[in-house]
Amino acid sequence: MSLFSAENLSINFGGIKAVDGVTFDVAKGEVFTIIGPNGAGKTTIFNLMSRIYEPSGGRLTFDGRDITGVPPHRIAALGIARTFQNIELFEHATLLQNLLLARHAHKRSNFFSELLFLPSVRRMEMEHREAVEKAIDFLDLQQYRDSLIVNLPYGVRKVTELARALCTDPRLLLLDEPSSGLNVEETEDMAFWIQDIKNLLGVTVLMVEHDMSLVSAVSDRVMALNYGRPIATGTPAEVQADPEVVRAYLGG
Amino acid sequence: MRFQFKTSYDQDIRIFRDKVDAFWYGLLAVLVLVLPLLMDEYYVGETAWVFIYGICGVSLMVLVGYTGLVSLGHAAFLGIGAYAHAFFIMHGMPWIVAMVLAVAITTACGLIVGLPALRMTGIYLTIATLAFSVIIQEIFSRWESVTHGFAGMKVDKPVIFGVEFASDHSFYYLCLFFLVIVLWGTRNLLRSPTGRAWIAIRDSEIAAQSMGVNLAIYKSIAFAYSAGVMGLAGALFAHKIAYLAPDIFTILLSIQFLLLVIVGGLGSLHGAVFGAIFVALLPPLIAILRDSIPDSLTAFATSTGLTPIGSIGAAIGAFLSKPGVEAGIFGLILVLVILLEPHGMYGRWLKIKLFFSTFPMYKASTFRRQKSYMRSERLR
Repeated sequence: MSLFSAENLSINFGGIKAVDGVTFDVAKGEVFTIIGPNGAGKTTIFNLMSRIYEPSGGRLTFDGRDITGVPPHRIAALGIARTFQNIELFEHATLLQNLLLARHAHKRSNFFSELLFLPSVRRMEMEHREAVEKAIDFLDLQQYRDSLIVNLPYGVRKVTELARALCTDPRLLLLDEPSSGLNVEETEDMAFWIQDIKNLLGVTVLMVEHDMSLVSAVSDRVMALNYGRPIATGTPAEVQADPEVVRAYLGG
Repeated sequence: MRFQFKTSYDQDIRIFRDKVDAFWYGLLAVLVLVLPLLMDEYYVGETAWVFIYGICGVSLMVLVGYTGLVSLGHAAFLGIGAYAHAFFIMHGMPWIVAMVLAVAITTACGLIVGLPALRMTGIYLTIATLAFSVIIQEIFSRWESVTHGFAGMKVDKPVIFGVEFASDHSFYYLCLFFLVIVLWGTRNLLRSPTGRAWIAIRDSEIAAQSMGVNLAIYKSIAFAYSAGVMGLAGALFAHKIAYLAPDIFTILLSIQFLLLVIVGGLGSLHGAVFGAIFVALLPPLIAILRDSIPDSLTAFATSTGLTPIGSIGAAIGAFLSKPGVEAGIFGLILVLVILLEPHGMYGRWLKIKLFFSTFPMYKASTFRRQKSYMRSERLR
C-alpha cells in the first residue's frame, strides 16, 4: 500500500504550468527520487506537498487521508517533515534550539503553563530533549550542540537540517537536494545516512536530487520530470537509460 | 576561562547556568535591594525609571528582538495601560484589580493590532503600528470623559492592600518587584516552545511553518504578550509621572523604546535591562553635566585666573540646556551603536567578559560572524 500519492497534481504561476498533471505514489519504506533539469518543477512539488503553495488541480493523499486542504502548520504533526534546498535554519539560535523547535508539533503545554514554567512543562522539555539527543547521536552532531548556526560551516548546516527534520518524528521525509554544496566525502556520508534512515528508522524518503551517483546508490525508484511533466518512472538504471530522459538533459 | 561540565539535561533548562552564575545574580539582587538605602531620594526616584523602562524594554524585546516584528506604536500601549489604570483607580477600584484590568485591556488591544501583523511584514507592519499610535494619541486627547483630554489626569500614589507607596523608596521596590516578575515570566516563555516558536518566526517563517508552528497564533501571542507587559509598565508609569496628558505618549517615546532595545542589544533580555539603564539615566546625566561643567570650569578659571576657560564652560552649559540637545545626543548614540557595536551594550558586555576570562589570549575575531549562506526567497 502506498504511503503517499499525488494524483494529477498541477499548479500554474500566471501562464506557466510549473507542475502539470503529475501523478506518482511513494510506497511505505522506499526511497523515491525525483530528478529533472533546472526549472522542471521538482521543488514546486515539495512546496505543494508541504502546503506552502495551493495546487490549482489534483489531490494529495497521505496515509489514506486527503491532505489537499490541510493548513501548512499541520503537516508536521501528520508525519511529513522536510528540508530545504537553500537551508532554512534558525540562524541566530543554537543547534539545540533548532532541533527542539522541531518538537513543536508534539508539544502538550499551553501559554500559561509555560509562563509559570510548571513542572509539567519541565518534564515535557526533558522528553523533547531526549528525542533531540537521539537525532544528535544518529547524525554525530554532539560537538556542535551549543553553537549558533551562523557560526557553523555549510556541511554541518546541511546535516543539522536533516537532524531537525528527523526530530519531528516523521513517517515521510522530504529531502530537497540533500547533497547540494557538499563535497564528495560529505555526499558519501549523506548516502549512508539516507540508507540508515530508511533501514534503521523505517522512514520513507522522498528526495529531489541532481547528483546521479547519490541517486543510484540510495533510490529504489526514480521519477524524471521535465517542464512540470513526468517523462519516466522506474529503477535508477531504467530511468537513466530512457531516451526521453537523455534528450531532456542533453537536448537533441 | 570557566568551563561548564554538563551532567544532566536539566542544566540547559535552568534559569541560572551554574552556581557561579547564581552567585553573581544573587549579589546583584542584594546590591539593588541595598542601593536605595545609600542613595539620595532624587537618585532613588531616577533609578525607579530604570525598572519601568526595563519592563518596557522586555515588552519590545519580545516583539522586535525575538519575533522580528518591529513596532513603532508601543508608546500607545503604554498610554492605554496608564490611562486604564488611572481611570479604574479614580473610580475606586482596588489597586491590584485596576492593574489587572489595565493589563487585560492592553493585551486585548495588542491582539487587535496584531491581527494585521499576520498579513503584513517588515516596514509595512511598522507603518501600521505607527498609524495605530497616532490614532490612539488622538483618542487620548478627544475622549475627555475618560482621559480628561489636555486638562490632564492626576494619578495618586499607589495604595496596595492599605499600604501606601508614597515615598520614592517604597515605589522603587514596587517597580523592582514587577521588573523581576516580568523578567522571570519572559525567561520562562523563552525556554519553552512559545519562545522557540518566536525565534523561529524571526529567523525563517517558512521553516517554522513546516515544523508545525502556526504563524498566525504565535505572532498574535507575541503581540498580545508584548502589549500586556507594556500595559503593566504603563500602570507604574502613571504613578511615576503622577499627571497624565496625551502629549506624553508620542511617537518620540516609541522611538525611545526602539532605541532602548537596539542600544541594549537585540535578542537578549540582558539587552532590555542594559538599554533601560542607558535610556533612563542619560537625561539626568545630561542635566548633571549641564550644571556641573560650567560651575567647575568657572571655579577653575577664578582659581587660576584664566577667564577664557570660564566662558567655555558657560558655552557648554548653554549648549546642553538648549531644547532638542537631549534628542540629538540620543540620535548620535544610536548611529554610533549601529556603526560600531551592532550587538549593543550586551554584546560589548560579553566581549569585555571574554576579554578578562581569556586574558591574554583574547582575539577580536571571536565575535566576527562568518558569511551567511544564500537563503531561498520568501515564498508567497
